[in-house]
Amino acid sequence: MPILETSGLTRMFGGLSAVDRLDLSVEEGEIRGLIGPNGSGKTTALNLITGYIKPTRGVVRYQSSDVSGEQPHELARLGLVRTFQITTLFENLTVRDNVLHGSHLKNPTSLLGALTRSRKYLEQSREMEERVRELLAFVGLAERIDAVARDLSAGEHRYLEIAIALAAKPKMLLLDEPATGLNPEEAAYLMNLIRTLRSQGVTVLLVEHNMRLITNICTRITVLNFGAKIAEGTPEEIVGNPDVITAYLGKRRGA
Amino acid sequence: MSWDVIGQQLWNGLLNGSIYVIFAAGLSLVFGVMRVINMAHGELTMLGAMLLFTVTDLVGLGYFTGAALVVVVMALAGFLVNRVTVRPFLGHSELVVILSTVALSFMLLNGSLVVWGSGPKGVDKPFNEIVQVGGVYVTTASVLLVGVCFAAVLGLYLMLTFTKLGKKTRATGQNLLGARLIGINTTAVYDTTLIVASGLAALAGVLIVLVSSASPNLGQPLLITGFAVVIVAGMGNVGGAVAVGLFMGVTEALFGQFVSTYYRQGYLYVVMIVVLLLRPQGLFGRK
Amino acid sequence: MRLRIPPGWWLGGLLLLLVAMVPLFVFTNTYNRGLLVLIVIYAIAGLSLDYIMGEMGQFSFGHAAFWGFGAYVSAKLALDLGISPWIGFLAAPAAAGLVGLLIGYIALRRTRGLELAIVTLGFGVLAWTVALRWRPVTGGPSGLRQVPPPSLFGWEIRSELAYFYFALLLLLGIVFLLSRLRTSRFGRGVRSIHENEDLAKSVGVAATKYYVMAFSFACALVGFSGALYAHHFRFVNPNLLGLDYMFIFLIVVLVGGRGTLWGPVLGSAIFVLVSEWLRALQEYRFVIFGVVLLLVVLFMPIGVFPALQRAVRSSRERRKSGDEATAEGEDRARAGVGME
Repeated sequence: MPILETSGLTRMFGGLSAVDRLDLSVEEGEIRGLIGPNGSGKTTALNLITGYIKPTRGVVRYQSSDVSGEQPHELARLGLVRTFQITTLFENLTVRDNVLHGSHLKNPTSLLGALTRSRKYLEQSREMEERVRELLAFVGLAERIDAVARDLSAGEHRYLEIAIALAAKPKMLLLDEPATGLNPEEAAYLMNLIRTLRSQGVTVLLVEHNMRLITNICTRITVLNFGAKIAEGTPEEIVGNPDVITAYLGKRRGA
Repeated sequence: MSWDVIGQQLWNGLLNGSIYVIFAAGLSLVFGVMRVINMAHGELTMLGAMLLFTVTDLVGLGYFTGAALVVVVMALAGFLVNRVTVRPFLGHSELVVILSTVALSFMLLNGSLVVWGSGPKGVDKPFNEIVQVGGVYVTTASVLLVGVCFAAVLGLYLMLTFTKLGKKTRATGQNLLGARLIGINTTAVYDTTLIVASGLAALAGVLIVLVSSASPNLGQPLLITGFAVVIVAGMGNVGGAVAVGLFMGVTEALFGQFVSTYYRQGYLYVVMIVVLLLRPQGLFGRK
Repeated sequence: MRLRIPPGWWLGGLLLLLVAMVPLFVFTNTYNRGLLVLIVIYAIAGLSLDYIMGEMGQFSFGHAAFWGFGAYVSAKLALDLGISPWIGFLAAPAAAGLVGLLIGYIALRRTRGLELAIVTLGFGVLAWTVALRWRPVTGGPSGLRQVPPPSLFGWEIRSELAYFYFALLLLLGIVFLLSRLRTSRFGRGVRSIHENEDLAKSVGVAATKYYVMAFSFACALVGFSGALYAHHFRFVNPNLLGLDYMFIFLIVVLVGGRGTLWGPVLGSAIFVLVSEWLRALQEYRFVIFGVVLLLVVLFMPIGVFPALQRAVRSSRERRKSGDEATAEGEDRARAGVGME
């Protein structure tokens, strides 16, 4: 049974369809790649799925219920969490506070508890701190816990972003070009993280521009061009698909 | 109630509406181009009126000479407004620019109260015959007011649509970075925007005295009306502001006549709230 | 458990202690003690405005209207229905918070920053007009007089000194409450929206709901400050809802320092004392305040309190470099709290 399904998902901007009748079906436990050339509608599709923009037509189903038009925070509550193409952090806060703020949904403390600093609140705060440290250790930022987010390197930015998203305990994680701006080692490290996530039962939808990067971690790949799906299949099938090659390397062929 | 009363209120509404139009057009222009809420816009209009009072009553210039002088001087002051209270803060949060223009308006308001006192000041009108059209009484000065307002709006429209400067201005409003990339001097565009906007504000000021008196307190209520117009029209939509300004002026006058004079301003506020609830992007705004 | 005091509290606590001592040694006459009451009341109003400006990154132009509204509510209840000021102290924030909820719902649904400023500006003028015109209820231009002071076990808190300590205690409680609110789930949610709304939503923060609630809370707090004013100075009139007070609260926040908790307390003290010192200048004062406000925004955007904090910190660091071994441990203990 698919965890995420879109049918006929369409978004028009003016007269142009940025996403055109997209049917997408992601199985639980998959790492699905969503690729396509620049401007092919990947980010728009992701924005539509996560509620940041409203679809012109079409339906988004998550865990078999219709969630089209739901607010992003409601979807996050259901376990559908995303990251952003341009690194998005709480820039002015420390690494610790970034993850703490990301733990909003998993923060058990009550208002009264926080005001009175009750025993229970302190207990829960310790547990939260523990979780923050675990998450930071998982993404490799344990040492940087007291650093201010804006002082992190490009790679660390990306890792922290993932830690924030994980703090919301996603069932399904949608990553928007997470490897942008990373050097090859950092990118490899990131892909390893994603693989580990999958082994922990998180379904991943990975939007990526760079096809080579994801062919060896995705279970299946969907290819978009001009907002529409042009191919779908295993990495091997996609790599050999002539339509995909045209979409990516069209210029070379035409020349 | 008679048709004469309604006609009279329609005309009065058109008068107020014309003022709202050029006031809100300036406010909307600044927001549309620069994403800046100019809280001092009302005080610029007030200064226009008070300076006109000073140059006509105390210096002895005629209305037209005085008005032209005041509008030109205030337009140039718009350059200073940009350089002192807006430009240093662009790139900071919107809040900071609001605060600096609030500080400016506070300074201008209280400075004017000290200089001129809080009482209303009458300005000699160039002509003020009363003409009866149907059952409606119309002063010649108010006809001048409406005429000048329409001319100013037309001028603004022509400038924005057909001149090179206008095109640069619109491009900057749509995409600041893009405009810079294609070589538009956006600093100059911002300067010009505030020059035009303060000129319009001051023009509203020198026209207001044709139908009422000048007072340091006239800026604040006008600012709120202006914002109501801008929000109802859709933030930054200059054309919409013109239509809504007229509509608001006329319906407000009718409200004042038939419902309550005291709560006229409340009426505009309620319209604004209703629009915000039903169509948050404004009547002419795009989502 | 060891009691660790966050760095801002040392400075703030010292400040408050100094202020608390003032009436005993310096401000010994009634008039001057009245100024101290004013400092405390403006500080509470400033703190609530700063909740909107510092924590939410928004601006309310109608904050004085909520302040005056709170004052009217409590005064009216006491005068017409004979309801105890103590209940008024609860009813005023409840009423102001409720209106704040409504305004917040209207203004905070879509664009943040612009609509709220404008809608609250309009609300301020509307509230002022109503206070002026609706004579049977509001008393018109002259307002309401003879507002009773609160009494405790049959003893009226009437003298400047008693009311000052009473209000000071409340102020301390409010600062304490606000500081803890920051680390609560709600406080972190609000902060995360301020820092990055898209990201906050992506981790499940209901941004609009939180902002509306936060705004309503700030309105309730300022309504409470208004009630405190009404029961001490014993009158209310439409001026309380007007722009003059709005500017006063703004000066209190900006001069003291935005988003600093203790800043508005310091800002309030500075404002009241300087304003008193300039009293001979009469209406020129407000021109000067306008200039000061502009200069502060231009040249000292962080405000006085953070500047003071920095100075203290750097002098401590200088000391530390002389005597490294002892100071470092102490510093580490303080840094561990992570709340500034």
